[in-house]
Amino acid sequence: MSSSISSLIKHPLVFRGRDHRHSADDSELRLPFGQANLDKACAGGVPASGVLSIRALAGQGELQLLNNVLLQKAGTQKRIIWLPIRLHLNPNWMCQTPYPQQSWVVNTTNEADALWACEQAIRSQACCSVVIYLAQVEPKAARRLQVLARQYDCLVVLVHPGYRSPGALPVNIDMELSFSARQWFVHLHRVTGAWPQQHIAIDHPLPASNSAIVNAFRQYSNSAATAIHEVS
Amino acid sequence: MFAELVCQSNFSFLEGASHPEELVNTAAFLGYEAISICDECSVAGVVRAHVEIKANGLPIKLIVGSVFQLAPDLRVCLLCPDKTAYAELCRIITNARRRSEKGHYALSEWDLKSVKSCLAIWLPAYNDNDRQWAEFFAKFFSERCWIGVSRLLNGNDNAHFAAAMSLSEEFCFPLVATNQALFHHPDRQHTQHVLHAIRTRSTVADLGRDGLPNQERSLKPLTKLTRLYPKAWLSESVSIASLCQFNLDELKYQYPSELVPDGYTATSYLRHCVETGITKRFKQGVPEAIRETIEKELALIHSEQFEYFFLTIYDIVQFAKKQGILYQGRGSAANSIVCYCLEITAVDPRQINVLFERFISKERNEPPDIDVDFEHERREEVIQYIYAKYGRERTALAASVSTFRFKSAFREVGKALGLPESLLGYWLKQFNLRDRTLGWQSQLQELGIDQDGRTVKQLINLTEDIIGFPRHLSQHVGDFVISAGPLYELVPVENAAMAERSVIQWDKDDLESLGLLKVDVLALGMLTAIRKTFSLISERYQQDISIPFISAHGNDKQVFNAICKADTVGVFQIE
Amino acid sequence: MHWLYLHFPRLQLDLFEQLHPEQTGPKVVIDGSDNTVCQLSAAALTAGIKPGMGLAEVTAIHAQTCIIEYSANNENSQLEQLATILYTIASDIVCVASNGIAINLSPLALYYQGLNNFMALCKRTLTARHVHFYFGSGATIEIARVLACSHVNRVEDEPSLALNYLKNCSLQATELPTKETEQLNRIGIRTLGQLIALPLDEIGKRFNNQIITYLLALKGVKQPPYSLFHPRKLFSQYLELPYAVESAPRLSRFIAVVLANNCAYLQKRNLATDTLQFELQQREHDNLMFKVNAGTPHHHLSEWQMLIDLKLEQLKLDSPVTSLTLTCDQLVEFDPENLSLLQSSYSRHAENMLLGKLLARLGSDSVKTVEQVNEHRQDYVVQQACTLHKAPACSEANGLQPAWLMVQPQPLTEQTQIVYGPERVHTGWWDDHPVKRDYFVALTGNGLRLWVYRDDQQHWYVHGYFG
Repeated sequence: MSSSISSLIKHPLVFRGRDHRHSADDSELRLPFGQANLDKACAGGVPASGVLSIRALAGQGELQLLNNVLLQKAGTQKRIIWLPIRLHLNPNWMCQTPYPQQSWVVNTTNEADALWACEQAIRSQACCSVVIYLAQVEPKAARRLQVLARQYDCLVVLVHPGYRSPGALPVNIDMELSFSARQWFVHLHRVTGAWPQQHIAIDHPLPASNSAIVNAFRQYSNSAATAIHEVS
Repeated sequence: MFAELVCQSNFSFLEGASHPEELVNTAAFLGYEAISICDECSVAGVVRAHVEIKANGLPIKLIVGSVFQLAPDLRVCLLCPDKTAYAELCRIITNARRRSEKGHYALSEWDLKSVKSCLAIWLPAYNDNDRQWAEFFAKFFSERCWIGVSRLLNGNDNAHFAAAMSLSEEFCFPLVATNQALFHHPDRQHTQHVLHAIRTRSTVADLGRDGLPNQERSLKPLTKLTRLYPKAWLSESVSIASLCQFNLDELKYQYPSELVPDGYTATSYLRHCVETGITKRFKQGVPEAIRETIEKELALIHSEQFEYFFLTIYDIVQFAKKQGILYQGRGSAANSIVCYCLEITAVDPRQINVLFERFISKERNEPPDIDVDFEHERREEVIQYIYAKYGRERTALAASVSTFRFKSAFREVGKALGLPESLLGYWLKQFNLRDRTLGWQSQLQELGIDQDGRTVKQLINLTEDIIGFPRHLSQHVGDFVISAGPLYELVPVENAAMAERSVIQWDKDDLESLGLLKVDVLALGMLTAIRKTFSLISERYQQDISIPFISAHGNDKQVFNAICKADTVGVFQIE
Repeated sequence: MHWLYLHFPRLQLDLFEQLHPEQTGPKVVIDGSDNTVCQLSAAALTAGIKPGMGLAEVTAIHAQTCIIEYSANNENSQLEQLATILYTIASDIVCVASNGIAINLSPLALYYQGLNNFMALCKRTLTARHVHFYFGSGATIEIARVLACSHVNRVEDEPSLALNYLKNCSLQATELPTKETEQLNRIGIRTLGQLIALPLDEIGKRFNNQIITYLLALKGVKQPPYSLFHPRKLFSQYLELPYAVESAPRLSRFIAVVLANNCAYLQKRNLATDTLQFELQQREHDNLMFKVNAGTPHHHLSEWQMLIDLKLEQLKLDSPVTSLTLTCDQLVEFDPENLSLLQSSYSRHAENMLLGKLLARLGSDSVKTVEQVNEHRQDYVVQQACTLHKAPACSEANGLQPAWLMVQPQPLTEQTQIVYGPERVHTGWWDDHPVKRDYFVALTGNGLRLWVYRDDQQHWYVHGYFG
């Protein structure tokens, strides 16, 4: 009986609140996102070591959301390892971040290699953070990364589309970015030290806009320009 | 409905990529109300633009201005509404240029504070220091400062619009649209890239993000402009243009007054000098025909108000004569009897056929031309005399615009395109530039170089574009400009490569176009040789000989025979 | 024992090319003792110049050939630099002659969890220094050296496997003196295999003891003693200038090279200094010595460079300078209060281990550090890693940059809304990739922020994503 319970408890999909409460009591260091709503729901922010899973598509502004978190992590002067897949990380964008000198971009051709490289990076203790993009994540793999990352004090940011992993992943935070009716929301599927929560509205500005030009035409031309981007 | 107020020609050396003439023609064709040629700390290109407008009767107003960079943060364009402002502009260009070595300038904040009449188009750097400069302009340019806003489609437009509008609101500067044109036609972007590469001693491929990303900095059709800028900003440019009433034709040359002693007018003093000369030159009395010509010449000089010009030269040659420096006048006006009487020339007009028409043609409406050659070893004495007499503020040399010739253009364009220097040198050696029938382009082909290759094609086209582009200003050999007041109120003065020489920003064609007079003080080695010959003769044969003495002898058979035998070693000119 | 031997065939030329990237013509290094070519660049090779040619022949073949005189001082100094750098990834190092470095692989196999991991890291370290090298491995330094000089470029897991390659090596690749080599050639012995097959006592009758010792080393029987390399406690580097420099400020770029080495040396050891000593050899006068002092001990390249440039501006040379030496012997521990620096020196070792592993498994170009690509055309940014030459850092900010780029832009098929733009890129007329595009930020229904462009045929493509 006890063995079947223990095997049930060990199942990767089971959330073991006791483990997490323990760490929350430990008043573990948390890195805030810099967004009041979100930080409140996350009990102060992202735990400094472990896995943060973000269910989002590359291009939804997922890295913008992480700005603050990575910046704090980068203060340790250790490496940040980027494991992109399929897409190419723009070195010129990288140079605009505050930590280009610390970054290494590791190119892999398949997900197995990417996971292997991620594990090596965590174990090396040379890295403060690993940002890895995957098309799908098995809960087992997520758990493995979570255990390693906590052991070696590394923040792993795991970005994946999410629709192939129905349940919450056994990691520190499993969150989802969603966009509806011009507003961005975060759904927290799992948070250590707090309860899951849906529809947390966040401030998620566009990287650029034409607003000032539109304003200028409105203010100085009496004519609201219809297509400001049609210039020639 | 639009005036381009910040526009740089190729007189912003190795930056602007169009001739001033091309810019005004295109601007007129596009229907601009006005165009301002604002080269960097320079007005060297404005006369050409002015002449082009007049010659072609272009329906466009030319505004004289200049752009300045002060530290990395401040870029401002100053425009001249009137003649006072123009004098002011010339003064601060002169100050900025004189502080620095040739080809550079150093504007100081004080220069800008001293500007009282020029209008300012401020082109903000869009960084943290903008507010500090805004306060500066609000204090020193109140009611005379606009913010120039550009939409160059380079990714900064929105941020710039936002910042400019907030500065405008806070400090009450009106906003005006400007495209900051560097060339008249979009295709000249290639030329601009090449010039940029030449300037930074790099190649076009290595310019990277420092190079222009697109062709937007050209003169654009009005329809395009209305899509890029709000209407009010476009029409603001026209109202600024309407404030600018200064025309280069207003510039009048004021001769130094000290040439005329008290009690004389310029006319009476010139007559006095001529009469004194007559007694010297025509000891046996003046033939009737000659007297008639003299009167005709004096009348013409009077009606054209050239008295000062003749007196200036008269003064210089008198100095030379006193110092025993040999000199010789020449040029169309030099062959006049007045010049003979003023001892500017030594050729007796009775012995040559003086064509009065050659003297000064009223119709040609050009100033008279007199060049005076001096012994080359002693010309410096003459120059120092001029400086001493009129002062450095009032005297400077005319500029001579060094332009790209074929060889330099070919080599520099080739380097900018990344071709190895040794290869370019080899090609250049193979060209026969004297071959008039076969252009170098065809010769390139004959070298077996694939002319349809991209780089070679570009090399040919861009070399052709750049030939004739000005590279820098240097000093003319001897064209002096002397004025009544400080010269820097007439035209900016900058340092020449030679120490202790200063040069104005216009060349002799520009001076001629504006009807400004210059004095040619040239050096001639042969005169030195002749003087040395004279002293040898006087040493050996105790015989004093002078040029008038020789020319008074007229034709000499022995000399003619020597010439026939081609025994002419050392003779540099035979007429 | 298992030794790796690194043979640097053209150290002096490598340094020259690093100092003068703009010189693309043929270059040769001439041995002053007999005026023959001892090192030559790829361009010289294509021009038809061969090693061993005389100076006159070289100039006859290509008049513009750049001639550099061989200097053993220069190469020794370079070699010491390389050894110092390799010392950070390996412990037992031996400097051999003026152009070889031997590394003991035996302890490294364990430390790096496999020789391949170490070799990947080692190659990358040397490539970053822009030096050409060949390598080989074997049970003794001598074996590894012969293999390296024969351009084998392999490292076997077991040192004994190297012997197979050794057999085919020609005698010219060995360190046997020319006289003995010719002697052996005359009797038909041309490869090492043949020589090793001869009985030792037979050879002993004909050759001296030195040859025997060498042959024993080649057979892997006995390793002659070598002294191990230890990085100097003081930093000193000698640099021969490629041409005499007449004005002090123009020395700056050459000093920058040794200075960079000095700062790297200090940083790796967590040391700092407040005094640098320079000695300039002047062509017609005595050596000129000067010191540059900093307010507090540190090891920051840019700050030292600035101080030195200031000093150079003041300095008057009596005659042109032909070579220079930088010496730094007043070393102190870098301020230990700064904890992050301690951590970073600790993690430097960890980093090397990680890098070796990644390179060995994922390929030699799989790990990239981030370098700005100075180019308007985004396509170049993707290809940059291997092809694009490095343009000088750009003075302007980068503008709007998406985090993700498509390797190949894809046609835009979704319904989107334009929120920003255009940014017009119309340039690149000088090469095969002219570009005329209007870039926009477009928003899709599910909130994706696309970096799209319209080409001059009015077709729309997706080129990147804002992450």
